[in-house]
Amino acid sequence: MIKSNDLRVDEYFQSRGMQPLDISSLGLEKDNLKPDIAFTDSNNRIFVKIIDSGPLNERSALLDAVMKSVDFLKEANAAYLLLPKLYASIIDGKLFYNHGVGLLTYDKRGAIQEIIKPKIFSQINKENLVKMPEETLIEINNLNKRIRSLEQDFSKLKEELDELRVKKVNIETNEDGPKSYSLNAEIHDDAPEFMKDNPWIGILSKRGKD
Amino acid sequence: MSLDYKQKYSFGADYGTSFFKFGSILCGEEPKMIENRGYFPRNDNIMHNAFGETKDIVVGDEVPLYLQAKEDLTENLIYPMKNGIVEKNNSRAWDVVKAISLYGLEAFEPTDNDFEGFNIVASLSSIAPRYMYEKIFQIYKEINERRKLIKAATVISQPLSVAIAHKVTTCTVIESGHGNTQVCPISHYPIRNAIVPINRGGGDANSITAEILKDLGYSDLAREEAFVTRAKEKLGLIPVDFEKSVAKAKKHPKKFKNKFKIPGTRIVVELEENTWTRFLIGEYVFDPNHELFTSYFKRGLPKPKDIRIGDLLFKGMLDFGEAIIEAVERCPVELQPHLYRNILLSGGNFCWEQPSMQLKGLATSANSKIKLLLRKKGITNVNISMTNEPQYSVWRGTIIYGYAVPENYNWSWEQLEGWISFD
Repeated sequence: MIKSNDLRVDEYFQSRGMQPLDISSLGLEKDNLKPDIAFTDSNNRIFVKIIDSGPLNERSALLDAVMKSVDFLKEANAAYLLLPKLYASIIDGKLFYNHGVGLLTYDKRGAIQEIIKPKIFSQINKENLVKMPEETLIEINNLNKRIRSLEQDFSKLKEELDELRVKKVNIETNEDGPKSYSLNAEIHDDAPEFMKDNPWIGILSKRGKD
Repeated sequence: MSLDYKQKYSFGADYGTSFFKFGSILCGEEPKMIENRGYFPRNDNIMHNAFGETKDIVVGDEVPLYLQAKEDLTENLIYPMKNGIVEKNNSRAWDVVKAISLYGLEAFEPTDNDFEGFNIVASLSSIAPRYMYEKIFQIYKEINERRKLIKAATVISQPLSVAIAHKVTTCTVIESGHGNTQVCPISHYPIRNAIVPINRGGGDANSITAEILKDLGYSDLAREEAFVTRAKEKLGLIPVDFEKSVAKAKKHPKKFKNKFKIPGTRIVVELEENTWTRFLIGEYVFDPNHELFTSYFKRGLPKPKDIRIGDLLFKGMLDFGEAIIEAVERCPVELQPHLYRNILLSGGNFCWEQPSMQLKGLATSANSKIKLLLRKKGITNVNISMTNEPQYSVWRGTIIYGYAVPENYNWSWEQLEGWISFD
């Protein structure tokens, strides 16, 4: 049976642009407000309560877990309950919607799926949010710069690719004849067969430019 | 004119002697096709007075609905082209060309808001004189004066269109239609000085078929062109070696037996002891010089004559092998092997049924016959292919040409290419 340790929760949230938070640094005094795992997307704090497949054998225990997740909202902008997929069927979704708690499930292979999106609450003490170390902020700024630069390069390359699609230069060596240069203009997939891979398109598209 | 515009509004118009094939790029693989003819209804007849019919000229599918007395047809049913040529001063013929052009454009006129006229590519015979180009442009201009259907126009030769449609850039195209045959070497451009026209086509094969049918006692049927064409297609055989094939057929006529029943009638044509005449039809198409044909000429079979149209001499009796060699040898020596290596056969005159395995070594295909004719003259490294759906090749080439040639390439009378803009 899969245990919470086996779940790739970090991977799931990080793939959505969030960073894990060190719970001990959050200054949470009450145990019932401490999540199993927490993340931030820089603006919001997200707490997650994980239910192992083992101990949850009563419906009341499940309700208790939901209510604990609701408590998280005192310290977090959003809360998730992560539980085995099997139990999702016995929960009334209204409970989650009413309290704004998100629901995540995991299957036997540990794959996580979001069933209900949480509400994002803005009234949270911002001071409680983790402060980024100086070097991390510098690193993020550098990364931002690099991303912008890469985006510019990408746009440029995309433009060039579009042009090449219109006029794709192929230099071919024809064993049966002299070397020929063919320039193929872009042909739609639904174009007639006689237009596809037709070397004349390249030749004719150069007419008047020679 | 963007690529998107060209992909919607390129238009091809193939002016063949018998059929006009037309359509926009959105047609798919096949164009629309109507007979290249027009009927001028008499305005003094009763029907005209009763119904107030005001059409000056009728083209397309409506023509049969307007036809009047048989004797009237000769005068008023006009086929504008002979051997791909429209006479310069034949105003009625040009009226027909204008009417079929308008018919084709209107048939595809879109209702889209972005439509500013078609980019029309007309295809004419490779031996069409300059005045035909001028007339075609003039016709398009006149059509546009009434309604903007054309954005730009150009004209290309039919053999070039065939090569384009078949994706071959260096080749020799032999386009053999009903009236004539054109041998045209192509190396990215048609090599105009090397074109060899032959005054012989499918119509001549019909003529000898009619003579054979007359000899068999089917004189009445031999006068009906449609029947003769069917008989030619069903009975004709292309001999591997004419003399040997004829000798074999004379000795074993049953081996070459073939019944031909006219669909919808009780008429069945059987050659009986004369099955050898099947080879006459095939041989005559490719090489009419054998002495066996002389007796037919003496008995009235019209011998294909040498005729001059403009600066070009159309030889009547030139065999296809010799014609290819003559055309290729007018090209640079370095190019010649490439022209032999890609020979494209196009046109209805090359549409022959594949002979049965039983006749292997005696009857052959059009490709192989050309190969044999060339081998006899010492040309061996050849590759001959038949175009797919030869009747549509020219139109397909026009569509590609219209799509690919840059819109800002202005028409050049020296090169005979580019666009004439009607904006």
